[in-house]
Amino acid sequence: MRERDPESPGEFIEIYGEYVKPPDLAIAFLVTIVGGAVFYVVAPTFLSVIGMPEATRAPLSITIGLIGASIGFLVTLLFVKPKRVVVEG
Amino acid sequence: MIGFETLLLVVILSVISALVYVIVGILPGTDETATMAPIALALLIAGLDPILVLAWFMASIVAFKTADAVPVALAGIPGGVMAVPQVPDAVEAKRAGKADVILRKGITSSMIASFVALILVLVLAFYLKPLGDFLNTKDVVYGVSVPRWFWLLMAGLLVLALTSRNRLLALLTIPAFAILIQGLRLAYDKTAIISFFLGITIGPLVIELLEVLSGYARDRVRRGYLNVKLEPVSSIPLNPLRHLSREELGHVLLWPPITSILAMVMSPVGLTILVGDLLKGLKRNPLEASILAYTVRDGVKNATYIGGLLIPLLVIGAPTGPMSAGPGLPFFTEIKGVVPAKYIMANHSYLEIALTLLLSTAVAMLVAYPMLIRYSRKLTLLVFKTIPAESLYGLFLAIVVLLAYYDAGLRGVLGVFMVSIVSGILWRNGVSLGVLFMTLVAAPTLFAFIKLV
Repeated sequence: MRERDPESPGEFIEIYGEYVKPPDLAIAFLVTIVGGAVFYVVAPTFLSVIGMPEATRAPLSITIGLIGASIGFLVTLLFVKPKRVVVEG
Repeated sequence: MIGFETLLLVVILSVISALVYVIVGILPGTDETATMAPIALALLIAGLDPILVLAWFMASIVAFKTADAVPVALAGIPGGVMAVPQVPDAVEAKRAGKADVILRKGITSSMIASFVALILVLVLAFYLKPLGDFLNTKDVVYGVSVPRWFWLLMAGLLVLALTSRNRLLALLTIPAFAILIQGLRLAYDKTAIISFFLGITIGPLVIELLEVLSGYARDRVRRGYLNVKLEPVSSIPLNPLRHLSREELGHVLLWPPITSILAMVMSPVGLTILVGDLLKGLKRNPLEASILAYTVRDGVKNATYIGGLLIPLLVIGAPTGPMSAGPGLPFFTEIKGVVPAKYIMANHSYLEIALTLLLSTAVAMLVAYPMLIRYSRKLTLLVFKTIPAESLYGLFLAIVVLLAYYDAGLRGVLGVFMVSIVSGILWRNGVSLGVLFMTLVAAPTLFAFIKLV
């Protein structure tokens, strides 16, 4: 079973045994880091609004930042596609 | 005292960790330190009780080190650095139509080895605990205060440097890298460790990306998609007792426990290669030799990670080998004035720690084993078809940047960049990353000695 047409896929770069399209990597990184940074920056305000004590705001901010990065990662799955053709033997 | 709520949290975290790391394990190109350490670090920084993070980490070891051989067996692609030594044997077995044979043998071996190694390590660490006080005693050598475990670390560091692909460069790197780290710490105005650690972790990825951006990667340009051929797998029974022969079971009960102890100061990947090569010498038939080496190596991977982390953590409270100074370093890193390894030992009884570790390992096994035995092929197909490498690499880089910024602001991010470039170039030229991780831990004491000259 072939997953997509391998006739005109273009050029990729092999990194760690995987085929990568550099613009896709740049976009994926940007979307993920923006997701993380926005959540990280907004987190202290959000935590003070919901009444969190000041001492716990800094560590919770990084947790919320990482949640933002994870959401960014999930968003990238919508428009970055794997560069693999899986052939089932 | 660990209550019911904590035990429930251990179970929940272990289930989530096992599910996440089965997928990470199957994905190609996922380095252990890069994928396990930042998450553990993030959980510790977020303020989660260190014993819960340890439970998470144990479950991730069991799941990751079992799942990373699945794409090796099915497609000849390693799911992590530790699975690379298994590739040639898997190719030999696949050629003989034995993909599903090595798949079930490998998964079973990982499970048995994890459990046996954990029991041995827990018993051994309990009796070695008095040794911890001896190793933590500080002596004054030429005016420098040195904890005795430092010499253990140095012994492991020298062995690792001498077994690196480029041993001369590895040896020269030790004092030079210590100077770089201590110099950057002066620039940070604090004894930062997180951003340096993350810098080493992503070194190989950063250097490959920089080469692509600089146009030096023409030899790595590929036309067309990556072809992945998945071998067919017949239905595999769940009963683990039916998967290994008596001889294989004997080797799985022997080698992983031995290597789990050696991993206290020795490299897990080095031990995995060594044991496999040793066993291959016992068999005349190349196919039988490959299947035996593949099977036992799968168990050695899990055992070395478990012993390499837990013996230093439970006995000394300081990292002494490539595992504890590498993927396990978050547990030995001071976070908000607390070293998680010392916090765990000071706030929980040995029995509580042992029960937590046994519980998280058992939960991870109960999640990973049936999943991988029954659905390895479907899971591999799903992961290969839906998760692009770009998104995954993007996520790792973003996590590293966020944690480095949290550690030391913009200086932290720039420090990560600098350390990752140096680490990546050294790695490319044959220096094991373990040498850099261990030098990072040894840097303050090494620097104090260098200043004497």
